Amino acid sequence: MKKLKKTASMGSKRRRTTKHPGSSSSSSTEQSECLVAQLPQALIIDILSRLPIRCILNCKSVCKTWLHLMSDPLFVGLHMERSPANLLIQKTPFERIASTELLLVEIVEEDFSNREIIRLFPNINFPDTDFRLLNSCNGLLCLYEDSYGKSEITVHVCNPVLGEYIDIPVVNTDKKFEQHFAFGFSSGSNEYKVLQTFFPDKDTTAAPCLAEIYTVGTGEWRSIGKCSFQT
Amino acid sequence: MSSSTDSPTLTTETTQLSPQPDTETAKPTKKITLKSSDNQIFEVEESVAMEFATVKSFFEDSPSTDTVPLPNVTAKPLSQVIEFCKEQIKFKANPDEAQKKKYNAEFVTEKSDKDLVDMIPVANYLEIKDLLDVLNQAVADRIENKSVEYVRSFFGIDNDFTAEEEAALRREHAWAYEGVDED
Repeated sequence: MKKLKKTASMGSKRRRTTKHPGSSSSSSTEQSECLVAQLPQALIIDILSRLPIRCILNCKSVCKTWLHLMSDPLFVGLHMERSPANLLIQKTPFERIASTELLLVEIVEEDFSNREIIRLFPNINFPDTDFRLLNSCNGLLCLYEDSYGKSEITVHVCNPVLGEYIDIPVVNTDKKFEQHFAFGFSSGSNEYKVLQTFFPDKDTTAAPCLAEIYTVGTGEWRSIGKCSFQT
Repeated sequence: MSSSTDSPTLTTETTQLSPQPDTETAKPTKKITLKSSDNQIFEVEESVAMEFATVKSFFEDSPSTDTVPLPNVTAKPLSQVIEFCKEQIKFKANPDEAQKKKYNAEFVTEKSDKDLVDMIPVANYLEIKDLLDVLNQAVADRIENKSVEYVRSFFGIDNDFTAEEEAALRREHAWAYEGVDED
């Protein structure tokens, strides 16, 4: 489980590539049968994007070039396009002895016997907090940490397969308001955003409903003014 | 189909051979000559050559040429690519999706790993989208569920991670390494 910097752009799901920036040149193998050398990167990306998630994680340790390629937005986009639909199932224990577990089940129409089920565990795949799953979008999860009584609450945006997440701090400034969150992707700007709406806890006439947007990567909340709230 | 000639060294420029227009068009099927980087000559029907987007646009730009030099393509993968495209023409004339799927599957199954990978840059260069899709999927299928070591040897990739780096990567996604096929 890796916590990424708040400024990390989850929009492109880029990983930290501290050790080998721009190591995009093909690996310098002198082997006579180096087949990979004759393939342009775009073709390698195309081939690897056809693999299921498990194999992709496996292939990350083939070589540094591939590790780098698999963080390429082009790769992420192609893979998402080609992946079968997945169903996310949350297994919540009745008591808080066992941890919550998530199951990612591939929906394959023809072949049920061979369907891939990926088990996702707290601390490995997502932060182990007393979370509530808000929603998921393009394989990313938005988790909301329930901390009753605390003034500061945290929203996590998490890539459970890679086991990476970012924290989005939310400061509850006014107790008169109740907060609601939602997570989504803006295809126009290619950004992931969290929407926060405040509405008066009891007396709806006391104050207007307000809304704020957090764009992942920018690190800050931005007010979008009043919002109409209908129940 | 292919005949070796003692033709002069290949240039990337358009070879301005004297065209013989009327005798060619008079024939029922026009032939187009492709020349590989190792100077092999391939005579293919025009319909087959037009499957290669690169060759097609080459002809649109310079219609008077009758030999198309392919400086990035060697004879072996080219002959296999031509074989594939000949079949695709038949399926274009008589669409039969099931037969086409079967042919495409057989086409890649009988090829060695090297032949498959060798054809990919050729299909890419000649812009044969269908073939590229078939080849890339076939390669993906061959490395699916294989160990890291198998994938490395498949492509001839040297491991450039230190032992520590590799161990750390494997720890990170330990669950992905379970249940891979025997090499």
